[in-house]
Amino acid sequence: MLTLLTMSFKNIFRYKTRSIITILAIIVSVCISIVIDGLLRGIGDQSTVNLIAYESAEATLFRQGYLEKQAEFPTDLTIDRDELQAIAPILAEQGTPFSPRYKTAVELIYYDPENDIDGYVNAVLVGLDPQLDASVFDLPDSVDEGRWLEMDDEGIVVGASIAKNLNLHIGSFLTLEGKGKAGFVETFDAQVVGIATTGNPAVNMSQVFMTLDALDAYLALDGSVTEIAVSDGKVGVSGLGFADRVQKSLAVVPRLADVEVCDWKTVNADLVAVMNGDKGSSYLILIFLFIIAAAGITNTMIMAVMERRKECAMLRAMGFSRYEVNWLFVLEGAMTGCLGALSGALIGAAVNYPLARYGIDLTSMVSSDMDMGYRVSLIMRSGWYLQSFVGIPSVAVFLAAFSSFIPVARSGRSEIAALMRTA
Amino acid sequence: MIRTRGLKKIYRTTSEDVIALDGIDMMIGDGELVALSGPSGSGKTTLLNVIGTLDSITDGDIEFDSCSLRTMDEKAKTAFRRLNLGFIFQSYNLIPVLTALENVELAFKPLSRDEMKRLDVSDIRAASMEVLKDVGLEGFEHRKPGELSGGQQQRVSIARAVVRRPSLLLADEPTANLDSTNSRLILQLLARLNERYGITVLYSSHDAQVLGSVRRVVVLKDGRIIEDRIC
Ligand SMILES: Nc1ncnc2c1ncn2[C@@H]1O[C@H](COP(=O)(O)OP(=O)(O)O)[C@@H](O)[C@H]1O
Ligand SMILES: [Mg+2]
Repeated sequence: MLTLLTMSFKNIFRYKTRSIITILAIIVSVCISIVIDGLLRGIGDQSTVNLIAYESAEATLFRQGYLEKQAEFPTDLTIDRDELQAIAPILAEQGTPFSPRYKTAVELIYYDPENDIDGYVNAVLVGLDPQLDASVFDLPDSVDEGRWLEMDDEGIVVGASIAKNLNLHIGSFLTLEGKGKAGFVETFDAQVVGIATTGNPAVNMSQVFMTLDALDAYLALDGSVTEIAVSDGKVGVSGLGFADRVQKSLAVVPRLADVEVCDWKTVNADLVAVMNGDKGSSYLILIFLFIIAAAGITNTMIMAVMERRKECAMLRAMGFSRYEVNWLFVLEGAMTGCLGALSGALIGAAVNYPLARYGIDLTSMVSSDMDMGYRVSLIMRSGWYLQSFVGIPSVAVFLAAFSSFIPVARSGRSEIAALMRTA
Repeated sequence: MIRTRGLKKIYRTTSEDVIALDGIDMMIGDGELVALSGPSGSGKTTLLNVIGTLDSITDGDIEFDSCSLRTMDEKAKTAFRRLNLGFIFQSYNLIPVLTALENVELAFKPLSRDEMKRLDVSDIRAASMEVLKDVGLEGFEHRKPGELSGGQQQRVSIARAVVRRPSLLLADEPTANLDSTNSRLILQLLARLNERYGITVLYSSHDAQVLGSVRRVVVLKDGRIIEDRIC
């Protein structure tokens, strides 16, 4: 049986060129949107994973005030030995993996007399307990040259980019210069025992790891740490609730009132803001794309409505209500949208496949030292996101239907005789 | 039965008010066949449109049996057209993407479930095939309008207009685009449908020649009836 649906569908192919152009516009918009959305979500997700796995854990305990000044590595706002001794059993009892760390700014100086190579670079020296740290961070697995730190290690593990820049190898000796707890500059030598290539370029570029015991000896830390990183095993999702729970558990010891627990978003507030800002501007481009496609559909439908005024008049003379006639056009627009959205989604999936599987390798395009803020290595990888594959085509279909409705709604109010009279 | 009383239609344009109908009083009995004649611009199209509820009236009234047009809202008019009227136009107005048969079947599409009564798909198909045969288009059912001649297209549009057996068939210059042979065929067809099914037919033509055989001719000039001739 003949239905309005098939009539609308046939109408789409009445003016082939025009419809094909409209459908192409939708295909391009949907396809580009899906790919960009996938990349953005992929980068965001990967960035979060790499941030948490190598840099800041899911939550971190600081002395109140430290976080605001973290860039200066203040030596007076540390968590002291007795506080650490009070906190550790609480965390251990609730089964929360934790890692006390001491971070400080250092200058790395390297001189190789044999080959007459020298250089220096600023870095962040992280003192940690190799075993506890492995329960919170994934650093041991990222050491692809040499080995991870051992309990009584005197050596250091350096980020891969630092190693590359200073031409360091396993066994190279480095001179480190940093401020001790008392404020005096201390200088000491250490041997590279491992090179860490993490998925997080910021870590590769700036961090050097050493056991907390060794660092304490060099800088006279008195058992104090700048922070205690904690994890609850689930990546990214625990968020605010987790930090609050840890904070509550500390409340039983009044002495710890001065220790605050911050989730990873708070710790990296600046980075999160930059990422959200980037996302916003990228989505603005997508919205712009969609507006262009919608304008194209509206335009196509305006022409269709103009050309078919007599037909519409005839349909209404036959006893179709004006809503049914409008519906015919909206249906036509929606089906045009469907054709474009489905093809766009399919092509988008085809483009997304290599991006999700292999990613885009930026190694050849940018120097490895470039820091874009995102904690992703130089391979940007997309993902398969249901939201993009369902959401974006749905928006396209809805927009297509809506943009067809605008021109028909207006002509639907005319007298039938007036529609009929047009040439 | 259709009765118009003091029917007036004024088109208000930015430059002037055009009085298209200037007090039309006329009566058309059930089963009558009436031709509207008069020079171009005399108001024939306007009269057919207002009787067909395709255009609003400025003053006066039209009664269908005893139902006044003035009491009908948009929805009632749509239902009225659906259940009682059939239209034929000078330019056929077929849907180009549908075949002849589909164009005829389309006439049943606006019917609500109640209005469909017991008709099902096969009844509609059968009725449409029969009426196409009636207008002499057997074998052309699956052609699209673009693949038919003007006379054939007009016959499809007649088939579409009468397939639901309307009580009133309104035809505005149905022969204006056709040569004399085809014109005669179309008029004969209208007369036959009027006779066989008792459909009231009101059609217009500015061509005096095509009116020769009609019993009643109403002649308009400047929106007024200047002659109502029954022979
Ligand atoms: N939409 C309109 N706006 C203004 N004037 C109109 C309009 N439609 C018809 N007219 C005028 O009304 C008069 C009657 O027109 P019409 O009914 O089309 O005559 P006919 O069909 O006999 O040629 C003419 O003077 C025409 O110019
Ligand atoms: Mg006319």
